[in-house]
Amino acid sequence: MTDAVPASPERHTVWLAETVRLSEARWGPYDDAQAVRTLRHSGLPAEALVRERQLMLARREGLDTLAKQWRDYAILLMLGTGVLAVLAGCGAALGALGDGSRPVNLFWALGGLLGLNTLMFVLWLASLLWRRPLGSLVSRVVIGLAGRLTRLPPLAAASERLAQRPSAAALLPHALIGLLSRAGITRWLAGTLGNLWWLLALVSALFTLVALLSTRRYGFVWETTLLGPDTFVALTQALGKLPAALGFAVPPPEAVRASGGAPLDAPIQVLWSNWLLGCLIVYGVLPRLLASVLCLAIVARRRARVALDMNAPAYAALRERLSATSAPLGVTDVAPATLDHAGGTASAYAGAGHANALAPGYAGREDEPGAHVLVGVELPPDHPWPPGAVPPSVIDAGTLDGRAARNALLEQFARQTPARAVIVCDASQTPDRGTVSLVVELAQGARQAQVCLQNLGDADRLNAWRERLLTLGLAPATLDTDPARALAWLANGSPDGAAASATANGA
Amino acid sequence: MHRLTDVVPPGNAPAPLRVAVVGHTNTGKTSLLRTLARDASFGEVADSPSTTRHVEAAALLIDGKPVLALYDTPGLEDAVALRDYLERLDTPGERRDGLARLEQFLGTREASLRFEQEAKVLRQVLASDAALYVIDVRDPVLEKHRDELALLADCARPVLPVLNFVGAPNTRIPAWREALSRLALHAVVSFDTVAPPEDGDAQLFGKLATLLDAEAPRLQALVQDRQRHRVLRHEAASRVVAEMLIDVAALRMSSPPDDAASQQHEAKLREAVRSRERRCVDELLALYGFRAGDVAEQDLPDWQARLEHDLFSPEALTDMGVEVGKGVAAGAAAGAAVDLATGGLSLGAGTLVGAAVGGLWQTAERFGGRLLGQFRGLRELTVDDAILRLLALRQQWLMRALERRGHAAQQPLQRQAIVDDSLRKGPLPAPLREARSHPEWSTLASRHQDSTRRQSAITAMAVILQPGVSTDRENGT
Repeated sequence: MTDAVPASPERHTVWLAETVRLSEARWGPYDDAQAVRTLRHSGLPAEALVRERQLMLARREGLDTLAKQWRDYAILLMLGTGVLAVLAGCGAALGALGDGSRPVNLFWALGGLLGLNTLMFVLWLASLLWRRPLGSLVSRVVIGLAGRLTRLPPLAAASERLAQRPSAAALLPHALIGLLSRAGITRWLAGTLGNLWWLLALVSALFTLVALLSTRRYGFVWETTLLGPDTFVALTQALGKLPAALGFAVPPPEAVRASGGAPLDAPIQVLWSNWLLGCLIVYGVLPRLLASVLCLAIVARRRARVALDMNAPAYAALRERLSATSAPLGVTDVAPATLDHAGGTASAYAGAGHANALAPGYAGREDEPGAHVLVGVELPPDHPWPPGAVPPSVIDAGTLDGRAARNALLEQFARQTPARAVIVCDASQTPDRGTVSLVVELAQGARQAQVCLQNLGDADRLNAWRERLLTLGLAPATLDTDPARALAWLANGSPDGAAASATANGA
Repeated sequence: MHRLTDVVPPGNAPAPLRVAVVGHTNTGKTSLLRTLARDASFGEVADSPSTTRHVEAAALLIDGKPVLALYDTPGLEDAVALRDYLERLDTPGERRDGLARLEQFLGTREASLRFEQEAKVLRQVLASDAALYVIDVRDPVLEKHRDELALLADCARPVLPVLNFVGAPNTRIPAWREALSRLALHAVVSFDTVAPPEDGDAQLFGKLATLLDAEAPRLQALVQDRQRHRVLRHEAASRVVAEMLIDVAALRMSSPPDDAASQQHEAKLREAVRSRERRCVDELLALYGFRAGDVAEQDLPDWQARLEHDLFSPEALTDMGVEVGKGVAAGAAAGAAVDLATGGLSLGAGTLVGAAVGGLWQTAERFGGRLLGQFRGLRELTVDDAILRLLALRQQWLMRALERRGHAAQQPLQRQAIVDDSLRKGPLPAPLREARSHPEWSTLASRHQDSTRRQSAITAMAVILQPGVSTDRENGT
């Protein structure tokens, strides 16, 4: 088992962990015996253990690649909307000013630039005051969109691999929304995105405005049928107060009154342009800027709240399981393990506690570092065991048959990794999935391992063994058919200091 | 035998009994099903793990109605880890029986991921009335087998262990019987899908009847029906062989006297016999539900044709006498009518003339061609006695072998010599001798004519062939 766990971004870890938890709650627990065994002896603190277990399972299910794909799609989506915002801003500015052949109706222009923005801003402010979290609405929209996104070809192909099985990928959006709403940042996140979008649009409108005003000749007028000129003077003064405070020049009242008819000459137009720009900045850009900064600040501060809720029952149970020091096997009564080396029957009864299910060959040597272990897997009881003379430096772990013996030995390997292991299998039996995965797990649990196939009678079954072992990831060099050679390899290089010459070529 | 994917009986007949065939991987479940269903093309068989990955069903019928549905399942491969996982599903403090735990397991995610094969098997067992647990007795008894039986016991269905490959050289039958006894499975069936015992399926269904005693009448009816079919098949096979022998015995080919032409006709005769035998073999294979590849081809040794000299063999003469007599009688009757018509003035001449004409007519019809041929110096080539005996022995051997062969066997049959003294040494059986003088009985002849006498000859020959097969069965070979 690999000790090093590749690092992943913090947000993804929590997201994936939540997804795995939701999937287990819905469809029953995952089979994680291997992961648990590795983690229990890794020495991490309890929370890190839980996270690692979730991560391992998520990686096994392919959820991390999916999550990364979603994130990439989300970024693309945001870029797309950004481009939309810029175009919208430019379009608004162009529409407001026109092409300069006709005089520009001032208040129409202002309305066109700021009207929608102000309305949305007011609505957003009102929504902030709303007590009830809007998260449910947002989540419904997002999940609907996510559901449609999963039908896109690349994502659909990814979940095709999980076809006909309940796909945990469908729970990814649920998990994300759940996490965000628990941290209370859904609304602020949505606010950030909205305000930034409008800010982008307004800034691009501003730039377009400046460009147009610099390069074309415009005439600004106000028109009315019902109202009188005084209204406009008052309006202009009122609106122009703040821009004036910031340094923008605003037209004096007489100029305002005079602009009711045909466009006046250039200096007045400059004043009007300044007024327009000032209004845009003060009533459009600045509020949005302030709102975005506020939202971002809140999101940043509450980011730390996005974490696993360790008090949830599922996590609490996992924590107990992962930091336990012994593996409960469901039986409290200990049955004696009888082992008989002479003549070769080795058996361990099912249901014993783990320490006693280890073969007597391990008695007292459980903490020996760099052990050399000989073990047989499901060998027939009437065949001689061990297959040759076992030197005292080698630990004879007997024949594994049954759950207790298997789990006990795997625990032992995880606790004290042996330096060398020889695993003997009976090649005249059919290799089934459980046995083959056990052999591969044992081989990968030792630093160096050899798998020795005995009883070569049937060529078909030997090939089946080879094929299945290699498919599950056993290195071809570790497969052997000569027990004597394997025993010699095991005996050499033992801590007694015998020179490790290459006796693998010896008969 | 039918293959039904969902077994729905017509009308309001009772639903067929459902039996799931389960076991560790590569123990011969599909082969067992092939043998029981007598269907060599069911499923897929190979000596490697995980050959069957789906559940396939075959129904055994009585008079076209399904009585027993057998379900072939994928092998159990990882029962050890599954039992570990089942234990994890228990919440502490809650005690549930095995069946409830299994049902919960079937709803979890791992039932469709890691334990997909095992889940399929268990679902099928839960949907069946009983399970046959197939054991390869060459395998040692291991914990994983006990775990599999524990899982099956949890399914709350009667389990009948079937010991397979009992005929193989290195078996561990005593160890298995002991292990099964310790698990309280005392009703055990011995089987061998390579060379199934004669009453193997009767034994199996009989023991199944003791486990499912509510269904015992139906299973007994099934056993009797299969026995009846066996007898019918045997009789039909004998008839097929008898017909072939009659055809070959009656075959006659005339050839001009010179040697070259004679040899050519001999070759044609040999070829005719060869193809007739092949046709007989094909019919036998089809009757027993096998295919052409199941018998290794082995042609007859080269033989010399026999020259038919006895146009006037005793049988031929008797025959001729009978036939001529018939003709005479018929002619006489016609002549007598003419006599009566003339009021006796013809003084019985009509009768005499009629008799003579009738007799001659018959002779000419039956023997005219041959007589003519004799006068022209044509030779008549027929099949030697020895060849007839050889053909009979070969087909008898084939019948015996096909009766004993299971439908799961992979290797083709190799012909062997057999001993049947009556056929080998005694005189040629009467029907065959009779056939020799009736060349029109052979279907290979150009002027073939079937008649009741021919049919009765075939029946008689079939009866002669049958004891040769049944005595062997009594001897136990």
